[in-house]
Amino acid sequence: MTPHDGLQRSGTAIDRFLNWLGIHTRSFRALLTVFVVMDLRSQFFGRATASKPTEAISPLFWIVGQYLILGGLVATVLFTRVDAWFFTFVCLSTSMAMIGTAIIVEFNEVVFDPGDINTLGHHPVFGRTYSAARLTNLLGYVLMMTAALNLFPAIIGLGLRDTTWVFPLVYLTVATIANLITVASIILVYALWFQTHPGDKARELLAWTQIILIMVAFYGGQAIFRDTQGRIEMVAYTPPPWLVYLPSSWLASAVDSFRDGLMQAQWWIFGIAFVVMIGLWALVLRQLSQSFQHLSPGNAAWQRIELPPLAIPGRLGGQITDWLTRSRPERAVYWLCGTMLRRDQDLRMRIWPTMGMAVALFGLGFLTNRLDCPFWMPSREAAIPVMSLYLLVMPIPTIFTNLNYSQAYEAAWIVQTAPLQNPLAVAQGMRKAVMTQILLPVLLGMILVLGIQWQQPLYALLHGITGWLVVDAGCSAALLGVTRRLPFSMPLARGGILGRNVGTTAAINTAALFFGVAHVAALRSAPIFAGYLALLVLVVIGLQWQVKRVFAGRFGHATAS
Amino acid sequence: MQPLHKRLSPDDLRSLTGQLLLIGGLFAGSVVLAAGIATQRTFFEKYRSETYQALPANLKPLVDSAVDGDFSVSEITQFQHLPQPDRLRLYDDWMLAANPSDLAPRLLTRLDAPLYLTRAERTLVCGNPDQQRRAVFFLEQSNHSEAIPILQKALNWAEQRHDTALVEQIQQALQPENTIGRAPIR
Repeated sequence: MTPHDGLQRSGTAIDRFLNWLGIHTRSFRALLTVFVVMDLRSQFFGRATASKPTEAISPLFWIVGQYLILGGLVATVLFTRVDAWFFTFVCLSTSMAMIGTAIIVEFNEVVFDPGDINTLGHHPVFGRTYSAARLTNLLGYVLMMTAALNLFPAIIGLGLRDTTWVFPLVYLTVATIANLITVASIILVYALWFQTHPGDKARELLAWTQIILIMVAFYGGQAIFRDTQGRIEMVAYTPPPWLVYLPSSWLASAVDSFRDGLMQAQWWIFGIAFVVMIGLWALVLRQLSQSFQHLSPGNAAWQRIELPPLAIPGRLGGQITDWLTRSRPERAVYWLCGTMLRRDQDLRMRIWPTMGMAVALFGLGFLTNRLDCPFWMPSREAAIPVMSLYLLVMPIPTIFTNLNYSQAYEAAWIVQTAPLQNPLAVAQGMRKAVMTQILLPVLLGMILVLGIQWQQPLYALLHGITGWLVVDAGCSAALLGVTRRLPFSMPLARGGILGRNVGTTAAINTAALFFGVAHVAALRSAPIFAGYLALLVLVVIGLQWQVKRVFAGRFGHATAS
Repeated sequence: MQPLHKRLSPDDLRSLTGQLLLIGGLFAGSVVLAAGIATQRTFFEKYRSETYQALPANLKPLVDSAVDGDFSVSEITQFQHLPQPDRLRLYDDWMLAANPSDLAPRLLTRLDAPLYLTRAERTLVCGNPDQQRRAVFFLEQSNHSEAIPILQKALNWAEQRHDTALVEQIQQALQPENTIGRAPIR
């Protein structure tokens, strides 16, 4: 069989065009359909959006929805507050950043997947047909994401005082060129510099980094609406000088220049951007064609699969685990939770994004310079470091609920039949695993940033100790309210995660907010704050005593005696 | 032909065409929403204004003197010991006054020009039309040479935004017959 066998000599104009290019239309259509279906399934975004294969709504739908929301949030927040140049600059920068992360996350699905050799290697699909299908899919993907990210800015921008009717057209054209340049640059960086495709960990991280960005936009938008200092307006009024070095600011200037009429527009920026785009895509085409040609059995396309090494039998965890745990059953549960948190991607993707609210608020405080030391200046600006501690409590009930479920729940018989004489050890192992392996890293990160920001390590340490007491109380309360089964012993069912514990979660969150407000109020004087800390210690001790009392009889017959 | 709800069963939705239709519907809805927001500029601009804090009782004597355009030596000393937020309360009180003194801006900018000129510039950018008009008046009455570049920059900005009311007010303040920036600063 040769590349020219089977070419259709008749059909639609598109078919004839494809034939003229030497592309097999049937193979092309079949491959393109498969690639689009793979786009819809989108495994990394699927985990990030908690979409299941059986659900009617695909992960791609959620991603398009998320991008529309992000574009809408950014455009609405800036609407009427800033001029057209700054509006365009921020929306274009957001769009370029998001398409950049999306293309890394979806690299295998939309750019190049060495694993294709496993499914296509024995089929008579020629390189040119495969390349054409891949690139058509890539272009379609980029255009759809570009439309999702820029639809709201293009239309809302039309309502600004200093734009004309050409704004949506010019903005969408520039956004498309900007995103195509971004995508081509990323593909070339991976192809020429790293000489590989993005790793799974980076892609997973970026998949939910996007969700964090959306939360930052949501909370940031609220902060802008409530900001009495008009910071965003003043930044737009006097932009920092370094902005002029960013490509998105050049493109924003080109869009803004159309305000004075077509003759005064900076067409030359368009020309340069267009030439750069064509040049980069020519390089991408050349590079991808070479990569596609290397897709043959036995080549670099075959990847090694490495599983993480298992712990040495008879010893669970290292020295730190020994220090943290008191008994062998407690150590076993601590190790089990830690191992599942490392290995089970679904569990990680259900747990880590729940920390987003605290991290987003803290990050927002850092970016807007609102992380004042509450011990020095008990003001509104100092409330963010305090409330960030209490927002750490909010995901705790969800985390403990998630520890009930696992895809490997059938293996829970090992724990159920283990000689666990004291059920309290199970609860303590879970509590310590959540505190040290999930909450402690986030808390330490916050304290490190605050220590540097405040230049007062002792105050940062005191803030950290308070935070530790708060999360300890939160974990004990969540254990009491949520944990009724041995860990990882239930199958994951749709709606099961939130449905059962809404009341407990709401109660714990309300209590956390109440304590947060009390904390802020107690900062008025040192004796009152000392009294508040003493109260917090009493609450922690009381909850731990209650955990000991309740868990002596919990898990029922599940534990052998 | 079957009705739409029968044609769009869950299985149909899970097909490639169904998913693309869903995404298309999402885009169509977004276009309508975006167009709705774009046409509501007046609504959004209503929420664009500054808020000013009431004057604490201990600063009242200072304000009374500022209205007359002069501070005694002890009042200057008191002013110099005021933290920045309290100094800004004097500006807030001037902005809230029914009949603002035309002498106070000059006195305040004489005592702390960077603070009060920057604050008035912020009102020009973030305030509602009434607040902007009063900020222009403050800068005009400050009689400070550094108020001129602030007003010129605001003029360019307002012209770009087609904010005709603000443009007219600033142009009037910058008229040659006005004494802004010409009088000696004591």
